[in-house]
Amino acid sequence: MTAGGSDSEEDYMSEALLQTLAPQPETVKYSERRRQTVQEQAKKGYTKPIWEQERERREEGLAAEIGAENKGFQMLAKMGFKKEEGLGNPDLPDDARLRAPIEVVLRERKRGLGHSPPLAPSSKRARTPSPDTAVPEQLTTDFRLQKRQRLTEAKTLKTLRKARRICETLDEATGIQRHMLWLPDEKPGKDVEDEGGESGHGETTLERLIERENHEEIDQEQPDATEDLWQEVDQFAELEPPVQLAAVTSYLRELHRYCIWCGAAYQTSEELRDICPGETEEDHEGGLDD
Amino acid sequence: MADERVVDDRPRKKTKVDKKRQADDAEVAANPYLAHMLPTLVPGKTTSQQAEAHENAATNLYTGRPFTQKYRDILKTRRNLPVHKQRDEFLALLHKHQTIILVGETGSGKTTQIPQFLLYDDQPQTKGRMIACTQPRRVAAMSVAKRVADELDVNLGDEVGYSIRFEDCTSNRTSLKYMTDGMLLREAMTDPRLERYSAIILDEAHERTLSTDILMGLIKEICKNRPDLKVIVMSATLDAGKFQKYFNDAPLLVVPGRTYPVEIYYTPEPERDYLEAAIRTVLQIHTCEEPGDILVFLTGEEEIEDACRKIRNEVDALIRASPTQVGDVSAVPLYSSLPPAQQQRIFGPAPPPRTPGGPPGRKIVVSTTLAETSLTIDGIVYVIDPGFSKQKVYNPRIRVESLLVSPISKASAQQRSGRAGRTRPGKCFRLYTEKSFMKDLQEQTYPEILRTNLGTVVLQLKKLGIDDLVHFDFMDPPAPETLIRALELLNYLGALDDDGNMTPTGDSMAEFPLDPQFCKALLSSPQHRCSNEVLSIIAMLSAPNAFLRPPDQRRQADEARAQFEHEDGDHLTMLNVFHAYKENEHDPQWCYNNYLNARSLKNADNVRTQLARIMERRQIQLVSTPFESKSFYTNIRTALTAGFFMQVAHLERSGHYLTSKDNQVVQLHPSCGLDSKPDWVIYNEFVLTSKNYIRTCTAVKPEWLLELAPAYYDLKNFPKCEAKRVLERIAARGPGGGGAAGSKRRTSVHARSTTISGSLVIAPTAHVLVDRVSVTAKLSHNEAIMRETLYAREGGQTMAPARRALPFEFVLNGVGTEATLPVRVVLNAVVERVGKTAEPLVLEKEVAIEAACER
Repeated sequence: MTAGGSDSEEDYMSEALLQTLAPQPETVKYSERRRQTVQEQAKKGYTKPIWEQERERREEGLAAEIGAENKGFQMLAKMGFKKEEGLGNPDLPDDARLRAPIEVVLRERKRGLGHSPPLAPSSKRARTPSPDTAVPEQLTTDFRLQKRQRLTEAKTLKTLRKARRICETLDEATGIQRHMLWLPDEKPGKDVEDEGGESGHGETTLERLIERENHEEIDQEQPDATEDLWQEVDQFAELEPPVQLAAVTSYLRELHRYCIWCGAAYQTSEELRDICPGETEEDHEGGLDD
Repeated sequence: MADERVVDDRPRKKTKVDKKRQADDAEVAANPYLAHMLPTLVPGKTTSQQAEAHENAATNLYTGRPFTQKYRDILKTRRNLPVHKQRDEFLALLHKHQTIILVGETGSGKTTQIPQFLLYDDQPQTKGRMIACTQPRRVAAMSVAKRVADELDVNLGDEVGYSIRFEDCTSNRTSLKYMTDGMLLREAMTDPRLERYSAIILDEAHERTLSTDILMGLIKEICKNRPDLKVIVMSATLDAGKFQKYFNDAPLLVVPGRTYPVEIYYTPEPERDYLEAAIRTVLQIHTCEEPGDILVFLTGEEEIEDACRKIRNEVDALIRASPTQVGDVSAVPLYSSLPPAQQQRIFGPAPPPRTPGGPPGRKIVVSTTLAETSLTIDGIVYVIDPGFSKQKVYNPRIRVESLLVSPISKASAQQRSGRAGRTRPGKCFRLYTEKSFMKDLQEQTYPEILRTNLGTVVLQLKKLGIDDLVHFDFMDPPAPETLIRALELLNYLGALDDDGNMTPTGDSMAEFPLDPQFCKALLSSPQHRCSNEVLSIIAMLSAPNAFLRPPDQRRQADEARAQFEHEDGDHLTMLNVFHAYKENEHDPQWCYNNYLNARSLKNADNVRTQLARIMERRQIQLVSTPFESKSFYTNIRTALTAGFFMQVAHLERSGHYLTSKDNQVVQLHPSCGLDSKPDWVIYNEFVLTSKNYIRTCTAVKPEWLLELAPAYYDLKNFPKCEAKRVLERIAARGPGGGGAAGSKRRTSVHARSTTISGSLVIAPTAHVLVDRVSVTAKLSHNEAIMRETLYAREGGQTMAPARRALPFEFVLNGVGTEATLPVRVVLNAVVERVGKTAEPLVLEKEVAIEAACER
């Protein structure tokens, strides 16, 4: 395909294409904001050690060329000096002329020749990663996104299981025999492994969990389960975990006036409405997540 | 016979005829009646045979005295020098060309022989002229002159002499003069065409010292108008092309050195610590390599002494471990500040085997670059080269001049390795990788003119009548900014006007072989009635550091120094030392007892005499303020400020100093004797080590700066800083508002009586028994006006180990009619205590208070 392909084809190099992609909203967490504030405050109260001040001023001074406002410059100019011509015999080749003073290089004491660059160019505080080792911006954000996603998924699953177990307990208390929202029967201790949510093999945790739950649900031999329930359980398992969770929570709220985030059953639905902050986790800030 | 030989200038071969001639010469030489038969030396037309005939003769051509046996012995060795073989070749070139470039390895004999070849050919004494041979170093000028005087069988100072700064050892009979390049430059100021010389030899030109560079530019110019002047530029390295080109394609004469191949070894990896690596290599060579002495190149005195100590310790340990396999070593240091007698130790023999037939001893010379080209040590077979030397660096932007440890050049590395092949094939161990050699080392060391402050040079050039500094034919032109700084300095000092023309002040300043700042301080000192004292201080600063501080006796040395210390600054401390030295009649034992370097002090005294002579010649008054006067020290500080107002640092509120205008953060050097931090100090040097230091500091008053250097402290034109605000406040107060500056502005008051009261807080520690506390009040000069004992221990009763405030009150009656406003009174509290050793100790604490006098 040539760069100037037909007009009908979508030009993937075009800026227009980029503009269609909405920019990711910059979500700054509280902890991040806090860290920034602390850093800024520390910066204000921090006085640099004398050697650093010395170095900064020195580097500043060494970089500043003496200009035309200098008395000596004016005198030299009166003698016929032109900056572009330089000093010395006019016949001299241009590369034989020194334009700027010889650099002042401070070396670390006793450090052998060629061992390392003379004195670290900057302090630890101001150190920036070298271009070789720096991670591209894109990659770091991708990594963070992935990591966050995995965490939320694991948390959702955890909450889901908790909710289903509560659902089962509450239902049994009210005499309901079996419901598709109940946690499928499992061998005790089986789910302990997953309690931690995000483990070493986080990447596949979700799939493994879902898969296993599916299988377990499928493999369940419920003696008194009807075909309908069997199908319902099957269908429910195919839903996305957040959807499952939403279903379980609303079931709990409606039937048992129980809020999973408050961790309490309310006496009346009015109470639930007035006291409970809302139906989602966001409404209960920091609720279950400790 | 003589004519025949003039024609015969073919390269000589040992033929029968030749031998016959030599026999003839010998006969002629031995028979005094045949003296008239000696060939006549026609200046500019001689041959080697003619000269040799004179050298072989019975009597000395120059003195008329018969030659001594010593002379004949030396002559034999001289004839074996490599340069001797090329005497004819040299003369042929000399007769044809005005300028010759000569390249010869160290040890080829060029420094001693070429001037003598020239002497026989040129016969300058017949024309009432001289031959000058310049050397970059004073020591070299002196020692070579001594050697050549011996070779010519004359007294040093008669036919052969030397001239170095502050020392002239020549007479009206001198026809060959060894001198430092700086001295020849100085002579050019009074003799711009160098008329007193018929030939000039610039030796060690490869070192490219500042003065040699300027001389080359100057001589190149003089040659145009003086076709009779012969110029020989001698270099030890093979990069002569640059010299040839500079001197309009002058011919080149190469004198091969006597060298053997040198194997070069590099390290596989860069070294973490080159000093440690050097010592390790020494030990390896000593235990594993064939006999032969070792030369180690290090950077400075301290490092060299440290290395010598470590080598001795390590070898001692090895000998203890295996006495039959390891021989003795003698580790000998070499650096320029070492006393001459100790420098001679490098020529001593290696220690003998400890047992007959045992492993041989080895001499290990640890040296600075001094051993690189300027002197030859026989017996060196191994060279260790870490690749560093101390090099001067000047940066005009922040006006810092320092000796920094820097990588050497490839040319230097080659010179260093060459040192190993002087007596037999040798080895050179480079403590860096081959890649480093290729990548990190530059081809040539930067010439000094690119690395130094040009203040003195510009003044000299102006004095030499060179007005076009911009197009002066520098071999390597300096950075424009360096020249800008030099012009700026000279303008503010009043030596050059705004157009760059020399002022009368500048003319006087150029007379002194000193930095322009010193010259200015000296010239303004009579106004402040302290020229004697300023002269002494400058002499002390021009001589090597007089304070000794042996590593194992630092505390004692510091205590000794403390007795000379003046609270107002190091310059005054130096004056105190000088006065004490004179009072003790130059007694070396006194110097030794007080940790002072007698040689330096003697040198300072000598410098002072020389400078005083110049002062007399220029009719500059030598005056003093009476020591009893309150303004004795103030006047000196004021006069110093007149020269050093551009080297001022101001104490910021944050507690560190900033240099004026450049705003560099600096600290007082640890050697500085100021125990309080004065708000304003002048400094002699701004040096860069791991920190930014200002060295040799003295407290000054900001009022003086405004008054003595209004052009430099023009506040309309001053970078924004704390110092500016302070100066602005003072300027707003108007003249006379501040302290006294100079004698003119003194406000005379009649202080009838003044009361100073306060309390002295002493916090003795539990184990210290304070015996007595007394306070002395004195005015800002040394005169004690009252002394009072505040506390005395009574019958074994000890002072409570808690803070105790001792109140005191002084009534100063009739402080004096000349007291200034405000009077500065210094309280000197002496706390005498008895420690556990029952040895009395005196702790001094000084409290300065400003007390206003009542009229």
